[in-house]
Amino acid sequence: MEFIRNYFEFWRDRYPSILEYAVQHLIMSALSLVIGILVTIPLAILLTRLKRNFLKSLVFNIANVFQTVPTIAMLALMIPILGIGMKPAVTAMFLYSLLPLLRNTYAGIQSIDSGIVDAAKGMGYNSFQSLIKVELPLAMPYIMSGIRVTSVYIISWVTMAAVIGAGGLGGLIISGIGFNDKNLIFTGTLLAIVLAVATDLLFARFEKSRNRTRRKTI
Amino acid sequence: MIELRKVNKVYEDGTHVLKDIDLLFESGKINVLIGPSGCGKTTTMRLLNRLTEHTGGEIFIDEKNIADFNPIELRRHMGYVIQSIGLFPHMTIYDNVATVPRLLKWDKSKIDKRVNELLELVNLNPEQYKKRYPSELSGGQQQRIGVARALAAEPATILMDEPFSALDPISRDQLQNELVRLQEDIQKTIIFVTHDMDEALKIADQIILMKDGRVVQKGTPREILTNPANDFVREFIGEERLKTAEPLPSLSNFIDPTIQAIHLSESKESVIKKLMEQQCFTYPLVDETNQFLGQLSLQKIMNESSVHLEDFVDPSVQALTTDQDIEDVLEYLEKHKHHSLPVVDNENMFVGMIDMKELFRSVRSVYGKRGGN
Amino acid sequence: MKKLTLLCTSLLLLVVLTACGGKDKETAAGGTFFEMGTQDYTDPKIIAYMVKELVEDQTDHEVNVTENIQASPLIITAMDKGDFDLATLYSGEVYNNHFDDDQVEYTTDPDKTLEQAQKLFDEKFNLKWFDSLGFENKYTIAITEDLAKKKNIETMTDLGKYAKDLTIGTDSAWIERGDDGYRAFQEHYDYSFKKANGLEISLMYEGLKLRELDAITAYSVDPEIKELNLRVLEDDKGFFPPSTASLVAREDTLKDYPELEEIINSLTDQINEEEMTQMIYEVDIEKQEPKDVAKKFLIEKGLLK
Repeated sequence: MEFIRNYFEFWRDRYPSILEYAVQHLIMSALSLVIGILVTIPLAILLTRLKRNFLKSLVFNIANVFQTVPTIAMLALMIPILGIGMKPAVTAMFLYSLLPLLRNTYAGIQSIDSGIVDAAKGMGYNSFQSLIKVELPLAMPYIMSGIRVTSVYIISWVTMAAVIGAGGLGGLIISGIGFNDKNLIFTGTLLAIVLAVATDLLFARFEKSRNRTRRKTI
Repeated sequence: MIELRKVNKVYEDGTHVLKDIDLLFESGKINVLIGPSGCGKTTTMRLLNRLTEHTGGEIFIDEKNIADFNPIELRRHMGYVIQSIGLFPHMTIYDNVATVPRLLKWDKSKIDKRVNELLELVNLNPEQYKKRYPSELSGGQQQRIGVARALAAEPATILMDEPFSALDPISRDQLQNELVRLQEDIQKTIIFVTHDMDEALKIADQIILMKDGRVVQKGTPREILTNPANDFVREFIGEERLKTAEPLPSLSNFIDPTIQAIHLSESKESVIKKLMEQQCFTYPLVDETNQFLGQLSLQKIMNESSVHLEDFVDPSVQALTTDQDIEDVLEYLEKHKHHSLPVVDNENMFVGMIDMKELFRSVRSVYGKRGGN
Repeated sequence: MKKLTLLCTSLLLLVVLTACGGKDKETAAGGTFFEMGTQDYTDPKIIAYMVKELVEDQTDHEVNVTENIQASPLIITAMDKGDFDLATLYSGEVYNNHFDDDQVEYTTDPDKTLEQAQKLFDEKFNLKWFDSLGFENKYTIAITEDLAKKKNIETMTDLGKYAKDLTIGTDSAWIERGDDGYRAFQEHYDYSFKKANGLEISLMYEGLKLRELDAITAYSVDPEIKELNLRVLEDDKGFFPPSTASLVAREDTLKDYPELEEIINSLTDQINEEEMTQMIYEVDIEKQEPKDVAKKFLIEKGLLK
């Protein structure tokens, strides 16, 4: 009971700064996700249009390399180029998001029955119409699940961004570790989990509602 | 009419998949491209709407070179049905069928009307099916929608790439029948790719048999069956079908040469007597050089007062010639219901008579062996 | 930058250590192994290797040093659990939420702070907090010499006049700390910075170099202060708490191995701030091994032959 009362007091005293950490966290996550989507979806589409396997595997390998760089090293490597703060953090998260987003979008478009694409072409859709009206809608479940998974990853990775001065919930956690305040650690962790779960649920709902409108897929 | 002149297709890697293809697809006919896989049949079809571009020769649609068309426009004016059906799973039946009209920017009411019309044409109740999704339909129903979609913008030509091959045998058979029936109404130029000889024989006006990028033989189903160009064709058709397609015995087998024609010089009385004796109502009449003049009618002899035998000829009866196709004869007989008919040779010389009962019995026995057709 | 990458591994190591635990192994000479944890900055590492050198020189025991524990509270937790026997800690640790507010009295007096640490950590954690090693490593605010000269800033009060346009870089914890953190600082000096940017300690200097930061909370022994020509501002209103370095050991370990206590006592008051800064310089800037630097120092001092 004592603990709970203390915790409420902690929130009462700290909520403006806690909210600020959370908002920073959300902004960084959202920003990297949006940039990731804007870059990877056209890139993945381009890759599905490419005949040269060499180029495809090159792009995927590069994305894969980014993925395997440890978060802390990635953030550190950004500093000489982009300085400290949000810029390098968002850039690092963006690089991390490349592979899952790219892979899902690419797989989504590849998964479409070639007959359907052939039919679209044969009926006189031009390449762009086929993409917008047929291929993207059909690849959407894959793309969405890629976005969903990536967003949860990013929210978790962004906690590391605090070490390079970008703030976010990681700041709360590191502060908590630094001067032994369990409330801070707990709150930072809890909020990061809540953000991740809420984002996941949000996307899940969105997917569900999409599926309802189009009922069954292939 | 679609014409291919010395058409070649060589891929970038050097594979020469079509070699000097010369073909003519007549308007309003079902043309079936058939052959083993890799023979180039699908490629040939895809050249027509330029999903694949040919690398040599020329292709004309109604005398216009297709190279001069915008490929996208060309495709919008050509129906296209494919094996995997290719319905868009995320669109309703209505949206699927309306695809090309929408691309052509028809107005809404016209599209509505056309979709209803088409669904009825392929025997699906518009109100019931319009709002459904492809996955909610059976394979056969889906392929009907595929056909309806191809017909939507009233194209003169429809390309069908193994459209029924993924269906169960019963649906396939049903759809083949429906296609033939539909074709009587719509009279489209259909280019139909298949690897199924039974299907080809059933629906084709013209069969084009291909192998290794060349046309091996083309012709009507009957021509191909009765006169396979070489061993490959024979093998491809299969012994079973060839056996069943053995030519019917020629007409000459059924001619009764014992019947003597009446000479122009004979008297009216002797003719009457002869007919009465033989219980015949009609009898062939020839001149002194055995030239066939016509069929004497007993009725006319009795009723008319003339003494010239020529005057008693029944003009509605025509003689058969010895080289006539037996199927045509049967067709003619079915129409005119004669008991017997005179047969002449190419110089109009009387050869003998054919007894209809005898002929039918013989033909039936041949067809009976085929187990019905 | 190396420190950064080791952040994760240190946490992982802690877990591994906890899992392995125990002192069931013997040294070749039949002695025991002492476990010593160090923070991720350099002075505790150098001290750890001094202890290691002395112990291994004078006894049959050996010392295992685990470097780069992310934060001192983690070291205390590990000592409490028995995973570490030894550590170097700073008297300001007493203000780090280990004790209830009514037990500890906040003061900037170094002696009183050390006394409280010695008393309270012994009571609660059964840790022996030794007397000062001779140096402090305290929080301070540093700015570039350029800025200092241009604006004529010498004290923290002087800095206040320009603070609203300045960004201060600090370790994340300082922003949230209680009596000695940024909140209290704002009250104490009655000004705020435009922005307080929490980040890894080693990155603060990068931030200054990149001109993304105008001021930082530096540690008084950081060699970068000299290296980057920074000016340490005078804490004219006595805000920052004292931070006297001491060796700390588990009472249990000392009871079993009293010879350890003698060795630790031999280091008392042996290292002044200048010496420590020089040693950190050799490690951080000249990239010498902490072990070698420690050994060299002990030899110079005549503590090791």
